[in-house]
Amino acid sequence: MNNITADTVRHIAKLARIKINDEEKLVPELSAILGFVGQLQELNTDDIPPMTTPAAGKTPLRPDTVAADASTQDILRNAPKQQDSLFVVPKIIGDNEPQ
Amino acid sequence: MTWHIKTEKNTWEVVIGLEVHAQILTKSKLFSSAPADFGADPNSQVNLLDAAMPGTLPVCNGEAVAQAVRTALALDAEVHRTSVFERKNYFYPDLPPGYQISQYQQPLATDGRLEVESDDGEKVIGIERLHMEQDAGKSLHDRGAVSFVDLNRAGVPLMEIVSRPDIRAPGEASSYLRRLRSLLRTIRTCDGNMNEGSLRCDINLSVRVAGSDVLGTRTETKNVNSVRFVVQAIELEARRQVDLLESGGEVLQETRLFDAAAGRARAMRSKEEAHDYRYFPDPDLLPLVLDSGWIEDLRTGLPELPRARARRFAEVLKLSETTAAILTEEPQNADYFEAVASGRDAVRVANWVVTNLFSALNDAGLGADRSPVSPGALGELLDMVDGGVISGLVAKEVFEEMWGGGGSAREIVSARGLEQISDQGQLEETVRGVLDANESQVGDYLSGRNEKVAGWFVGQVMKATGGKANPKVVNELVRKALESRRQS
Repeated sequence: MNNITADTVRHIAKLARIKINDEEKLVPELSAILGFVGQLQELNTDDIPPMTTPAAGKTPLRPDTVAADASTQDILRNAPKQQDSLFVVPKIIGDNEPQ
Repeated sequence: MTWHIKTEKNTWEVVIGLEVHAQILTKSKLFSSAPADFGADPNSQVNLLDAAMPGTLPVCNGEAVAQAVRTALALDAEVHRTSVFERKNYFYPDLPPGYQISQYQQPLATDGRLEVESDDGEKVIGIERLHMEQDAGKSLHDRGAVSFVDLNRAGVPLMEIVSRPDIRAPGEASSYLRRLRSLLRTIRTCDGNMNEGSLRCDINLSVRVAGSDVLGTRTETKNVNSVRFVVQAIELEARRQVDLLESGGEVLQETRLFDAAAGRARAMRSKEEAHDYRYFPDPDLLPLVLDSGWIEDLRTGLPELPRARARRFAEVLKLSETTAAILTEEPQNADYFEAVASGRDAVRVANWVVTNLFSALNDAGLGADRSPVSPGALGELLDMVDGGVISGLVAKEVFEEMWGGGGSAREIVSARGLEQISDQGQLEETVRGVLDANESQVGDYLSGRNEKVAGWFVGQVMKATGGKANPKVVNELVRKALESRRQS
């Protein structure tokens, strides 16, 4: 699984919305990290259910009651731009909205 | 008989699976206490968590879980005691945290089923899975050089219901959606309002030569928001794929966006550009662990489901399958019918409700729960027909007046003197008058040239009495009067 290429690095950077210029340098670094973590693959985990959290117990459930903790002004306060109580964002080009 | 596309070269069949996103009916959002209502002012129903403010933590809405479990049970699915919330990572301006909390590897429920109507009768469509997730906010792109974001919808609870690729015809897809909607509305876990977006449908579709058991490359058509559009989108996409394959091309695995106004769809993105969501368990949320006793309580609390109700209407109340299906499509229609039918002749009530009430409701764009004529008021009207007080013909007229707010059946009938005339003496006189005025037709009857003319006389007498005569009595009197002229 440890076959990181410059293309892999570019793909990961794109997914994370990070701008990089030195992907060639990052290839060995990422490979080293994956190699280290890869040692875990050597363990046989066939009959062990995946552990999704180290904390014990189950998620607490809350009653279905409404309680506002912020006003429209509060929510928009940090917006770089707003208009008619809406966030204004750069025009979204293309339809890369998943469901 | 499967739905086929026949061309000069081949006969093709379609393989369809539907993914439905249904808004779970709750007061508050899935992980925050902000209200989940539709149509509020922009950004007025957003809690700090929904805007992904640092330091906030999600707490799961117990009622949203209960609603999803009810739905899974109503779909005969297996509800898992343990399920896991995961993060689905992608960047989009209407998704403040940069991830959607969803369920992936361990969904709430799997292996359900829904019966649909097909050309070969009832058919079972498998449900692969049902899981819970948050909705995203709403982006508005159609206003100039920038886009706008409203976060009211962000965090609203959704159930994603994924069918198996068992659907083989546009009709089966529309039946699936209508039955699912009816089920959700009956158990009150989603209001099923497609034009407000509380029920949205994506279509996975591929084509293959009929009889083949190989699956073709499929496309996904997104956000088709009415039953009619689902049928249109399926026909369109199936035809596009067939044309493509027959002209030597190949179908690309891509996401397409249906444009109802233009009646076409276009490619949104291909698989190469598809997102890599990097799902992983949400560290802010422990696994969702359900008590089996609690699940059983929810099962016991389910109301009678639409299919069971339709079967009961057919078997116990002796309605036709078609009538039973029409009556049970909307729960409030079935409730209305049952309220009127209680203690009355169910078949007659059903026919009256379907023919007269539903067409009036349809014209007015109302559900039976908002009918201006209450079940009690309609029952009184039907009792007057049964009791021979008014004729069936007059009943329709009275109904129209009741609909317009003219009062109760009894009030309208007595105010307008619409009581049926069953008085023999009075009717005999009218019959005599009609016969006297039409001697040549009497002759036709007596000479045996045309005995059907008796029916015409009945019609004339009904007309003369303004539809108020008891048709059965008139029928007898006309025949008696005609025969008596034979002897004289």
